[in-house]
Amino acid sequence: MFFLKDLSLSITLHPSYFGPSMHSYLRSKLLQDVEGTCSGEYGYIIYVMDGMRIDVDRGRVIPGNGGAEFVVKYRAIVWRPFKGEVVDSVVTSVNNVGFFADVGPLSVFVSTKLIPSDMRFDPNSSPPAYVSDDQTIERGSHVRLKIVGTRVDVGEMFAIGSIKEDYLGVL
Amino acid sequence: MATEITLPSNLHYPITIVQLICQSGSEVQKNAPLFSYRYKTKVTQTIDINEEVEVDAELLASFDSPMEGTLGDWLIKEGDVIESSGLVAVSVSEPCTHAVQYAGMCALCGKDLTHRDYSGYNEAARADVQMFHKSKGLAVSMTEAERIEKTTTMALLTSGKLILVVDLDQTVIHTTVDPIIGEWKRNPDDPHYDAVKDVHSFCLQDGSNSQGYWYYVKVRPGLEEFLERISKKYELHIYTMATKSYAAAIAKIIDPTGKYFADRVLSRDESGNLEQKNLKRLFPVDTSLVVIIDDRGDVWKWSANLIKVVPFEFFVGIGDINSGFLPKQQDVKATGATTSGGTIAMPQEDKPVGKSSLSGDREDTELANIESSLMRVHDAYYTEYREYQKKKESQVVNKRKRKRPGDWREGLPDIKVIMPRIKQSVLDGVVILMSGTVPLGANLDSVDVVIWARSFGAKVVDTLAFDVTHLVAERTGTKKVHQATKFKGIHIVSPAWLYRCLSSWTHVDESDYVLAVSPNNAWEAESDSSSDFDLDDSDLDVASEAENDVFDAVVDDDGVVESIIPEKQSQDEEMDDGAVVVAEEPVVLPEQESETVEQAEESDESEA
Repeated sequence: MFFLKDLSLSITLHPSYFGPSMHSYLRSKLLQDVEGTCSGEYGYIIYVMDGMRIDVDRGRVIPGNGGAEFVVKYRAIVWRPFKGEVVDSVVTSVNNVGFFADVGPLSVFVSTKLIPSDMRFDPNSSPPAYVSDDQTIERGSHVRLKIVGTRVDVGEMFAIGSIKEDYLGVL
Repeated sequence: MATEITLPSNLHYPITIVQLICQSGSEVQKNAPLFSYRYKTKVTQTIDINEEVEVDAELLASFDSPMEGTLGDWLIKEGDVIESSGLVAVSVSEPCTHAVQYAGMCALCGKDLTHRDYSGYNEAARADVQMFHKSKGLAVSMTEAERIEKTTTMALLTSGKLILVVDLDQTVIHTTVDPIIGEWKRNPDDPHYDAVKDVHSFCLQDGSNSQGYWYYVKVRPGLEEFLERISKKYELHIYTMATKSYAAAIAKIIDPTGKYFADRVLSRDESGNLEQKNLKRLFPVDTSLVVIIDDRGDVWKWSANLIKVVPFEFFVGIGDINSGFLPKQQDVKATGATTSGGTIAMPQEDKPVGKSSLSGDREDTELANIESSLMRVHDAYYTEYREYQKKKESQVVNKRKRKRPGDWREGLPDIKVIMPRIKQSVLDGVVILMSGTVPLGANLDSVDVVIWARSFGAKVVDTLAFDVTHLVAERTGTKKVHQATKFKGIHIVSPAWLYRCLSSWTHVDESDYVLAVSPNNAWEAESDSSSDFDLDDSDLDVASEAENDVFDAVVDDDGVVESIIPEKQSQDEEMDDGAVVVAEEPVVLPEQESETVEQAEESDESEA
């Protein structure tokens, strides 16, 4: 699910960056540091909104080393997958225990147990595919799936999906 | 599916069962108490402020269920005294056995399995078999692996196929990163243009270099046709020590549409081992259908499934660019003799930087050899398989006892049996003595070419003895060659003969590979003098002089040989007649002596 979320990041700058272009540097550093990252709490930070309206505070000099710390407030579009959520995905690889699909940055695995039993793995087709009478799931197919479990690792997320329900499967 | 709960080793045995808390057939939650028990231990009691005593105590504790599910029948009862761990207490039929796991989650129910609690029961360990090519983090349990492999095996047997695991570097392609190839390729006027115009190139980004590196890939001659024909009889897999991106790029070159290999590419990023290749990584249960082709035998520990192929070397001197983590390739001479003698060093005067000369590829027919071997193995397998089926149909099942009764693999033919059997018959009865190909003093058991020859049934010995049938010599100047000329029936052949036998899986006729040994009397004279040296140390000066003469003669051209011979004969006449008689006998020379001779000769060569 997508969210609009107000977030903040504290950035420490070396004194050599202090100067007229300090704010634009902080902004670009912010985009570099947060866009595309993933945390367990908010999921993926997809996009930092209002590029020019990022709120940089006055900054505080850190005692002892001359650097300064700035708290940058920004608003971002975040995407976090939830258990039970139905999402659209693109199949990336197919093997005999299931298939992998990408939902944006998230890699979802759908095992054969969670694929309708009329879809069978056909190892001889090229590329390998799950085939039923009227549907084929192969690399590149678009599949609607339901997330049945997620797990957060350092900097990435994984999910298990299912297409064994009504209205799920190849689009 | 019922899972048995075994009593763990961390209880204070012996324990006495006090009460079974959950009844058979009831639902239990994870960590719900299953039964309570009594155990004896020592506890420290504080009697006084300064005094602690240890007293025996009997304590009550409960055993908690490591998993949720429906309880089966109890195998223990109240009042039982259990002396040690390992006993099955009860079985639980779980709603999910977490047999397939992806990135720490159960792929069947979506539960996070990395969570550990006080019970110490590790759910993630229930699926620890990684058997998939491209999917890092996907693992299955052994039972599940077995089920999957059974399906694949049955499918393969029905379609009449076997499995072929293909190595990339120096087996089906040869790659270099030498930028000179790119220069040659870009310039149609370059003298090397014709040789490199069908060399493929691709660029890979590397973390350390934003520009990326260019790779130049020469495909082994006849590969396209080879894959085309072989893919009808074999399911093809790639197993390489190269990186994932490199493997993908190569797969794109040799199989642009993905019809041969599809997704079945395993690279070092997924293999989990940088030094060894292991079939268990792809086929954890059953390797009886698998054939491997690789130019390195050592990385497979000379597995019985392996067909070692002669390395493909197009860019001479480059070797395998992806073998950085492997032990050094042995036996340079062996690889040099590989491209069927077709190694042509191109003139390099105009391009002094171009250290890679190109080898003539027209003569590399190794793929055709591999193909015929693979076809032979395939035929042999399916002949045996049909026999097995016939037997099965007539219910006269071959009662070969395997470890597990009811094993679906029982009686199925096995490549690990069939292939060595075919190979063993190739050089059966051949006894080989190596000369000039294997470093002196090397342990024969660790030399690649020796292991390779032995896998074909040849016996390899290190000293000349009665039963030697073939002397494989790099050149004629060696001690062993001189001795072997004394025996009738020893074929003195060049290493090309051996490689030809090993790659074609046939006992090749020796006559094309016989080493031309110079006029017999020269060698006779030489061996006389050396056996003299053997017998009588006082003649040392004369003998070594004579030897030096001979070896000079060997490295020089024929004219020189002739000019030396008369001189040598005169030396012979000076020598003791008795020594000549002894030399006529098949003498096995002590190792040390022959070593000095060959070393002397080596130094002669290097000077030249």
